[in-house]
Amino acid sequence: MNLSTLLLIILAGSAVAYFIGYTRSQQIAKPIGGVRNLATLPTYYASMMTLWALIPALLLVFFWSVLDGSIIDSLVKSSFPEEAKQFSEENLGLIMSQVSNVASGIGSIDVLGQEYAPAVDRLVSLTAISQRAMPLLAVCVLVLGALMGFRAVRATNNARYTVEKIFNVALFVCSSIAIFTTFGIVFSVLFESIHFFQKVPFFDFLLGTHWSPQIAIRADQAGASGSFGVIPLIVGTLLISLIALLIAVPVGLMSAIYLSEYATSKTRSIVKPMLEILAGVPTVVYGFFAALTVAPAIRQYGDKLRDWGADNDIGWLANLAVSSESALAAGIVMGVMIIPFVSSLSDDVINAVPQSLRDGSYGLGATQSETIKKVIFPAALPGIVGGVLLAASRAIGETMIVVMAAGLAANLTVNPLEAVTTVTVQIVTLLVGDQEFDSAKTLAAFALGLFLFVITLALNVIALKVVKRYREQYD
Amino acid sequence: MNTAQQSMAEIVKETYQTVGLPLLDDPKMRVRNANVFYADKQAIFDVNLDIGKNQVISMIGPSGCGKSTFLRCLNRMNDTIDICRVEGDLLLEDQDMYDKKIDVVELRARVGMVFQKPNPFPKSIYENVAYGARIHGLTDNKVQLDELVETSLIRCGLWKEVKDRLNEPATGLSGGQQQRLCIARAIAVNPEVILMDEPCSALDPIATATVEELIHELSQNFTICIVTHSMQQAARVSQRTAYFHLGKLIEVNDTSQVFTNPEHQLTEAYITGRIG
Repeated sequence: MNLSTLLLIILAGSAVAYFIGYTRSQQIAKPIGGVRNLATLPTYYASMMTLWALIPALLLVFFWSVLDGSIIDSLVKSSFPEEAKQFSEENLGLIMSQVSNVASGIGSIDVLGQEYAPAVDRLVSLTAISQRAMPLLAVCVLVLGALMGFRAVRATNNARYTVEKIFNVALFVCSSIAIFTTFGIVFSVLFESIHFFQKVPFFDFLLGTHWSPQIAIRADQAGASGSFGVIPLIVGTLLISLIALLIAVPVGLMSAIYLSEYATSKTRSIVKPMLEILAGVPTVVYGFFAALTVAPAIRQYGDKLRDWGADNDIGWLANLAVSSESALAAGIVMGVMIIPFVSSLSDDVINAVPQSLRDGSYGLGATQSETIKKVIFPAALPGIVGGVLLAASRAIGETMIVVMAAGLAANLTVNPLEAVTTVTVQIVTLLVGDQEFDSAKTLAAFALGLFLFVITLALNVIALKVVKRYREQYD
Repeated sequence: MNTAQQSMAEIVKETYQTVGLPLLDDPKMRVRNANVFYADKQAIFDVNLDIGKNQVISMIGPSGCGKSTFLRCLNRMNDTIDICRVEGDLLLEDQDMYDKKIDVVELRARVGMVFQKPNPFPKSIYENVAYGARIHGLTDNKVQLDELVETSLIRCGLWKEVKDRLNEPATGLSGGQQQRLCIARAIAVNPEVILMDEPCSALDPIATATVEELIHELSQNFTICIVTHSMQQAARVSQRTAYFHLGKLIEVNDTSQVFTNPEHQLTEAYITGRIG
């Protein structure tokens, strides 16, 4: 029986439990004068019975599926021949996978050696037992649980509290999943980074000005020094993010002010969703828009300017060089992408400024723009800063647009017309393709990831702090 | 609507004529045949009223009777509500306030407003008072501005309490202090008329007494219109009282007259507590 059938059976069983619980509580209610004399409503008894049936069975299935592989493995390993006990972990793993191949009929026992035959047999029998036992046990647990629940359907038992408590626990588990995932990610990145820093000194990474992660595979290979200075990547990241923010903050903020203060409700109901569509465009689409439309356009204008500069003997202009992949193109498109972040958040914040402040300002004879400049904007500023910082962390983490439009060359430059690269792009290029997970080159990706995580975390913390201060403003 | 209310509504319908003395010689503001609509719903019906110079006039009446709406017409604050429409002649010293040529911003500088809930800007105490002066360019330099802030705060009796913390946020003041600050902010622009929309309803009795005293002092120099739910307050601070009912101005007279000897049966019913 496969897992989905089993789950369906469990669900159907708990639905039956619901029905039984409901009917049973009605039955109990009848002789004592109706539902009003029960401790709670019949639906709560029914829900309680369902949960009694459902949760233990589901837990059993879950833990069984997670654990049975490793338990069977260790049992099979114990039936390996004596000499195998001296093998290293990796070798044991290899043999184990060969054993399971043989057990599922892919390989031949002759390749592995006859001395492994008991192990193969054991694996086959254990798997068969596990597959048969699990559904059986699960159904037993389901029925037992339902019986326990059924016993709890009594006129004096307040099932509402039970349901409430279980619900409480369920909510807590859901919220902790996100937290544990975050911890898991942080730790996995952290451990790989520690490996990296054992190979490359921390300060070489943090303060180095040269990024060239290629490591020589052969001794005579040229141009593969393997230097891991992160500064060009930070500068590239900050340059592109800065350009993006220079576009997104003024445009987003002004559209937010227009939408919340000037636009009629009809205009607002049309414009606001359209602005938010920008946030729904996949970044890949922005990426090829940047690479195929914006970057060539910038290059063309740059060339025209250079020719014009040469004709008119303006020295610096005549030497203008625009790369076909430029930080400017990526930054502009990224700026457009994050406009909705700025505008939507600012719009909410501006709308949250109490009408009484506007009235107060109008009542003193201020015009609308004076009111916005002097009262609404300063009052909303902390919230707006929070929105901008969130947009900034989005810009720093953005990858696709930069891969496509800004290139991969780790130039240490602040010239927006040159190709630069960012932290995220380098992570992608370090990890795509076949990689060995013990070289500094691959591990560098984790160090970069950690680095990026620290930066965006810091930005988010600042954003939250600012937003919190804003909340205290009117209370 | 119960029968008592129904009969009241009939009385209002029958008596279109405001009783008492709605008109004055040489008033500050003149309102003739004012009608106010929110979309299709009429909120104010044919109000005729004069507001005397350097007088306090209080407007009383049950909730929803239109007194706040009427007050907000007097400096065109209703302009900020899209669906609101005002008809009739509303004159400030013989100048039509709803004339297209009138600059609303300038009008509101002449007719200031204090609101029900204290609404200091989230700025320093100093900046709150200096706000109007700054946008209207009333002072030429910092010394004059300092002086204006000081005199405005002194007139509101707030100077002694805040002079050492002028640069602290105004939101840190107590409710009563905030309301007095809002009044100081309004008089710093040196308006001719100050409109107050239930200025004490969010304050405790002691702060209320301070503000009432302040209103009394300010009436030496300003024309004040105050909307209030408290009949005691109306009796204490105002020279004239106007009673509104369901959007109609029922009775206007000297305050003592209205409270001791009301002419209209609705006014009497309200001040004796039978409706409201």
